[in-house]
Amino acid sequence: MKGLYRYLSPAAPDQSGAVSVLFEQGGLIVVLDAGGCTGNICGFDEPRWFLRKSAVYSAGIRDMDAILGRDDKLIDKLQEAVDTADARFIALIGTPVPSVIGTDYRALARLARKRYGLPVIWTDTAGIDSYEKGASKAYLALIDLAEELFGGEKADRRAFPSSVMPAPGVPAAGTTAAGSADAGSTEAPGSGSGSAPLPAGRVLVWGATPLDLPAADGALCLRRRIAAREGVPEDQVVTIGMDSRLEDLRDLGGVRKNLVCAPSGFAPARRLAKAFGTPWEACFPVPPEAAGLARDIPHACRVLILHQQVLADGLREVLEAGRPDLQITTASLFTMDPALARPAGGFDGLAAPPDTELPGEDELVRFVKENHFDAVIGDPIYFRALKSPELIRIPLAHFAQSGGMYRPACDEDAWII
Amino acid sequence: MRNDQPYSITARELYGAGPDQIPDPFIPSCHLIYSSPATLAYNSPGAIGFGVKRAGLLIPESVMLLVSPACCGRNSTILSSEEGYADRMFYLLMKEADLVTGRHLSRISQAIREIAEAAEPRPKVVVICITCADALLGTDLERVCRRAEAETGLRVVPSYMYALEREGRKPPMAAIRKTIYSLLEKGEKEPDRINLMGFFTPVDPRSELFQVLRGMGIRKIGQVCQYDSLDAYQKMGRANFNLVLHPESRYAAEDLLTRLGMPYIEFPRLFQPERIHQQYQLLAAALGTRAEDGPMFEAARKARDQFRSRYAGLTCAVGEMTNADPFELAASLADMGLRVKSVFSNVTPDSFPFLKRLAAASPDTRIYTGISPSMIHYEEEKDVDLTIGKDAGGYIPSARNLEWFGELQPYGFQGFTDFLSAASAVLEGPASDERKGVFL
Repeated sequence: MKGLYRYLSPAAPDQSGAVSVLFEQGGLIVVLDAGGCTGNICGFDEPRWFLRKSAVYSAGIRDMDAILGRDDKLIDKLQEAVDTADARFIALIGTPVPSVIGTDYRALARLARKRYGLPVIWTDTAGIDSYEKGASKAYLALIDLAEELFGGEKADRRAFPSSVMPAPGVPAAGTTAAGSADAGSTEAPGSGSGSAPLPAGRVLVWGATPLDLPAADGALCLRRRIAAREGVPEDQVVTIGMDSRLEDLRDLGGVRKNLVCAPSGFAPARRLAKAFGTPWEACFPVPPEAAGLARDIPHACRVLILHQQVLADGLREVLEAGRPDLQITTASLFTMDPALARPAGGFDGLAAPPDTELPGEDELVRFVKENHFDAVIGDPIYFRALKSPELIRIPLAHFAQSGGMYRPACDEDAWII
Repeated sequence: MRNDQPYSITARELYGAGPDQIPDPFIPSCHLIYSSPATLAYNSPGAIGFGVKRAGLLIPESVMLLVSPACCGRNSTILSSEEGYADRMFYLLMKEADLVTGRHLSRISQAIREIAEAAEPRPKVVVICITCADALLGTDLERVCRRAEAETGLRVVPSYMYALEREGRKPPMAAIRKTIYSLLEKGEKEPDRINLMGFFTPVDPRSELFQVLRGMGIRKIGQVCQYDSLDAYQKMGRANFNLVLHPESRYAAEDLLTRLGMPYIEFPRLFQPERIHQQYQLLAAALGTRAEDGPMFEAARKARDQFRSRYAGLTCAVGEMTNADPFELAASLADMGLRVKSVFSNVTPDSFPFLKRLAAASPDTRIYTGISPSMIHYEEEKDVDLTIGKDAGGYIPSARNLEWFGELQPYGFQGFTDFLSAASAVLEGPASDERKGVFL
């Protein structure tokens, strides 16, 4: 039945994705929960938590706070954290508790801003959706924040709803929370590029958080590969969400190009394309050594790559270059952009289904079975549900799925068996 | 004005405040809760070690169905694999509309039927666990479970992971202890049978507790973690009384008293030979018999005197992620002549009897609470020789650390002397690795 997980277990939720984006940005991050959500976020979805201090707090909501809607108490509670943490902004992260009681984030943010004089952003995450949706919301909120903090020549072209309480005198755009505006857009990748020459400047990479990168040095390695691909110095490539600071979001209108390395980056890239005309494309350059992942797959097989869409596409490109005999499909239990998905196809009698977003465990099992895949490359967690003894299983960890269980020591190790 | 000092208070000041005036920094509902790695066990009732989920699965031949938003089951992805219960955990994930309508509850019976087909071996009991979302929806899980039992023919047991009620009358870890014993039925009382309540893993079988109890005529000693079948588990329903080794089991023991007429005696874990001895004697007196613990008592005192003569004057810090009450252990260490510089722990009214001892033995010991927002400014204290507890080791990574956090539960004189041996081994062994960056 839908929603029942007999073999798999829940992946990183939206609230973890939101915190992942904001973790290094110097804000006071307040998870609006009773404590359990924060424990899960920090203990299982945020590997940096064990390596560096970040002002992540639980709101410590109790039953009567929730039932009586004591927003004023929450605002009072922020005082000590504001006094002790050197924060540049406050971020309110939603969980199931505020969702059930119908918290008005905008009002809460207004109260907090008025009291403490700091910008306040929020994500209306509910612990229901998967991580990339929360990360998307946090990215959009960060863009709003950057516009407020740093202005920008085209700041007045903001075209999307805001999830930041603006400075006095600047009207807030829209009325809904961040992340809702552009989700589901089917605008073609790169459509913002037009025919004009690329402006000089930095390349920003969206989607780069530990949840979607293979290892602790994943952002560094990704920047190197992107710099080589784009022909720019490494220090001109900025991975937003990992190894980056709030200041990196200055002059968003002046960046040369936005790259999306994971689905959480689609919404911010599209928004910046619309606001500033900045070109973007989806791209996760996978090292050529990854071709070795297919070494044990016999000739002319059907292969399924199960991962986040952009990485899976990057890996398929490398595998197909070395093994044109393989019919490779990608699928994901997370958001997939239909515009990037390869349609159904096949050759030499090997039919291939289209790249497919899978809503849950049942759909995954059925998809693999009905399409007669010979091999699956994906997180070992998936193999619990894929029990056919004939299936070739090739592990490729995804932190958002299995956390630290199978995380390789370094990026290089991720691409070898 | 910016505060850049972590909050702390001396043992004397804290004890002086009394259980009715515990300072706000120790009360989670009074402030935001800081998340340092050391607070992981606190911050999530299903986090590490025995959280609600793993504890609920102590019921033999059971599986658990977590009915919740996806986020509530996230830690189980990792922990259930590491701790070996992944094949007994199932998840029915709520959709956004369920947060309002509660419609997910109508799908539980069907989910149980599908689980019964998938689980190997077929379960006899399904523990349903719900979380904060259902707490706010006012879900009557007992009714839901009764209906599911009728529809599926399996035993269906309610359990609650309500972090929202952590400081309430039935916090999650107390409530799950009640759940674990909830299937016990009243059996014919056996005068020589008791249950040990309090720990989710067995008391170290080397503990003299078993020998001393046998000397009192108690020959059958049950612990919930030792039973593989539901039939065997029911033997606990024939116990004469329960010994409560951990205060979080008090609520479950009260339930057994009410439901089965089974009385209980609180029998806490201690790390001071005279008090251990006294506790045995009091139990024996209550039962009208004798506790033959003389040789073990003498051996423990001798070990204590040797430890004191070698290590008195050393400086230590004690955390709460350890198999001991941190205040009781700190007081005992102070009694042995160690300088207890700091204790990292939450404080509840149950802490005060031990705080009284600590305040008398080491009034200037500073008590930190890991959950205070000011702990973001905590800097490692440099002059500490030994830390006890996983969290204390994280706060002071350059000191030698004894985690004392194993799965076998130390108890009695044996637990005390084992502790001294382990501490000696750490102090005489190689210096602690620099663990900076692992735990801040």
